[in-house]
Amino acid sequence: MRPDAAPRPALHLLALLRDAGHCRTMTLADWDATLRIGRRARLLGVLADRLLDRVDCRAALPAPVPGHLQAACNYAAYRMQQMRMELRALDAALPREITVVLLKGAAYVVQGLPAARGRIPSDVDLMVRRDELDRAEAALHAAGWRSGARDAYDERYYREWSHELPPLRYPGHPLEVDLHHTIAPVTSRTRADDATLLAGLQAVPASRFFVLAPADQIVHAAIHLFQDSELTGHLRDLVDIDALVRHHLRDEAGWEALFAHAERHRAARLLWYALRYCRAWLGTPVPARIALQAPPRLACRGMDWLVAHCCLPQLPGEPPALSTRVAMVAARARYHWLRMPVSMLALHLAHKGWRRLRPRRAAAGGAA
Amino acid sequence: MSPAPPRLIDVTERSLLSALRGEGVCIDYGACRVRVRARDPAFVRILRDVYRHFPFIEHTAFADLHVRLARGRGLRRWLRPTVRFALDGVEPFEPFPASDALPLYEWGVNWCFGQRFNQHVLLHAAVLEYRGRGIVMAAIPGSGKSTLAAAMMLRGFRLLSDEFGVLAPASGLFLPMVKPVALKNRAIDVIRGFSAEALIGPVFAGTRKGAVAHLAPDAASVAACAQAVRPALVVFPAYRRGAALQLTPQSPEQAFARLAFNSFNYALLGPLAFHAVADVAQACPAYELRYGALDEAVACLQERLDAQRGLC
Repeated sequence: MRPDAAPRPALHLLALLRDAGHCRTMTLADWDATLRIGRRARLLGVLADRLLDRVDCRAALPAPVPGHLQAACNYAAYRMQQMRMELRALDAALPREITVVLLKGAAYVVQGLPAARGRIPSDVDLMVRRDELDRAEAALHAAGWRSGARDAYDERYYREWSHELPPLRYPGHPLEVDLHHTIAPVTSRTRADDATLLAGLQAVPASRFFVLAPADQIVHAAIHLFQDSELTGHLRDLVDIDALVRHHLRDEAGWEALFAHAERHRAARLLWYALRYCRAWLGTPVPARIALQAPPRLACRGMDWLVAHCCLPQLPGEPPALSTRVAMVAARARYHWLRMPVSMLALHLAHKGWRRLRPRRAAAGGAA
Repeated sequence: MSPAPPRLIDVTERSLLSALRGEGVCIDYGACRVRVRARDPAFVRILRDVYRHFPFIEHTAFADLHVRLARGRGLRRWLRPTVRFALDGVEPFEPFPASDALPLYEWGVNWCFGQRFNQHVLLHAAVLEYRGRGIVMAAIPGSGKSTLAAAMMLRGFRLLSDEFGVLAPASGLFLPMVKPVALKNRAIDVIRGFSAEALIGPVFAGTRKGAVAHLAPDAASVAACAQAVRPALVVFPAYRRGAALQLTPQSPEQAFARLAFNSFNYALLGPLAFHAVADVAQACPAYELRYGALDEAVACLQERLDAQRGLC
C-alpha cells in the first residue's frame, strides 16, 4: 500500500497531513481542490490549525487561502466551545456517584490532546457502566434531555443490539449526546472487554469525568472506524488515530500495551488495518513489526481497495466514478455484515425497507 | 499594462452561455470569488444584464465558492420546471421555479458566503464609501436599508455591499461584497423613479420575499471591488412614510449593540467579533436616521461625511 496509490485530488491533502511544510510546493490551483476536499472530509480545521501554527507555512500560503483556513479555525473553536458548554450541562445533570467516561472528541478536548486541535466535534459521547445506564439515562431525562428515537423499533434496536442509547438532545442545544455502555455494538463480532476498559480508566484532573486508557482510546477509534462506520468520508477517523498514536505511544511498552488491549477487545485485525492505512497515508510512526496477526492476503487486498475508495475524499461536485460507487455499496454491506448475525440483519433490513415505504403510502393517502 | 478584460455586457450572450455551460464563469465580488456554472439561456441573459460591469473571467486558478445551477430532476424538467442550486455538489435549498433562477442564485450566494466566511465579522449592514470615508448602515430587514443604499449609489457613493458588512477583524476595514442590490416590492418603483440611470433587471413576482428586482451596481463600484474602506460613520436608517428628516445621535454602547446583534456570525466568533465591533462603535459617530424622502436622506449623509472631513 503506497500513499501515491491514492486518487489524485486527495494527494495534497494527505501530503499536508503528513507534513504541513508540503504547502510550499502547492500552486493556487492545487489549493482550490484541496480546500474543497479538505472541507468535505471535515479536516479543514485540522489542516488550518497545523498550517497557521507555523510561520514558514503561513508565509507560503497564496492570498485567498489563509482566509479560508482562519474561517475553519474560528468555526472549530466555536464547536469546541459548544462542546465545553454541553459537558458543563451534563456535569450538573449527572449524579456524582456515577462514573462518567468521555469518549472520542469530548475526551480529546478535556485532556487537551493534539487530536482535539481544529477537530470539529459532531456529538458528545459518554460511557457509563452497564448497571448504571438506567440511572444515568433517567437523570438526563429528568434534567430535560429528550430521546431522538423515532419509534418503538428504534428504541429496541438501540437498547438490545447496540452499544449506545438512541441519541439524546437537550432542546435548543447544538450537540447530541450518545450514552454508551461499552465501545462496540453488542451484536458484533468484536466484543470489547468491559473489565479491561474499566480497569484502565483515568481521572481527568480538575474534572469529574474519566477517560479511557491511552491504548483503549486508540483501539476504540479503530473499532469505530472499521466496525461502526460505513467508511465513506471517514479519513478524519484515521487522522484521529494518527494523532493519538503520535501523542500516546512514545516507547515499546506503550506499543505492547496497545497490542495486548486490541487482543483483549478482539479488535486485533481492526487495529492492524488502522495502523496500515495510518502509516501509508499519514506517515504515522509505527514499528516495523506489528505484533498482531495479519489478515489473509486476499482480505487485505479487498480492504485496501475498499478503504482507498471510501475513506479518501473525492472532489465535491463531480459524480463519483463507478468503482467508487461500487466500493461504497460494498462498504455499506460490510458494515451491516459485521454489525449483526445474518438472521438479525435480514429482519433489520426488512423492517427498514418496510418503514421507508410507509410514509410514502401515508403521503399518497393524504393527497388523495 | 495589459488591456482591461471585457465586461459581461461586452461579450455576447452566446459566448457567456457557452462559458457557463463549460468550465463556468468566475464572478469577483471583492471579498469572495464565485465560480458559477449554469445551462439556462434565460438565466444567462439576466445575469449578463445585472452583472454588466463585472469583468468576464473565464479561466482562473482559484475560486472561493463553486456553484452550479441545474435543471430539476425527472418530471420537474418538463412539468412546471424547477432550478436547483448546488454548492460543491450539495443542495442546501428546495428547488425554485425555473423562471426564478437569478433570485435563487443571489440568495444562494448570500447564504454560502454567510456560512463560510467566518474569517470576517459579517454584519447585516449596507456599506458605502464617499470621498474616501466609509459609512456602515445596519438595520433589521424591512427598514429600507437596501433602498437607501441603492439611492446613495445612484448619487455618487461607491457601493461596497447592500447586505453584508464584511469587517476584517485584523485590520478593522470593511471589504466590498459588491452584488446587485435586491430591491423588494415598492422599492423597485421608488428607485426607478429616483434616477433615470438605475439599471434594474426583470421583476420576479411571488418569491418568498414578494416581488424582487435587481439593481446593477455601477461601473465605479465594481471597478473598486478590491479596495477596502475604513468606517467613518455608523447609521441606523428607519424609513417612515411622510416622516421629516431626523438625525438622532447614538451612544457608542447603543451603536455596539445594534451592530453586534444584527450580525450573521457574532456568536460564532465570540471575543474576536466583540473586539472588532467595539472598535467600530468606539471610533465612529453613530446616528439613527429617520427619513421619508430618499433625496433628503442622501444629502444629509453626504453633508455629515463632508463635515467630518472638515474636522480631520
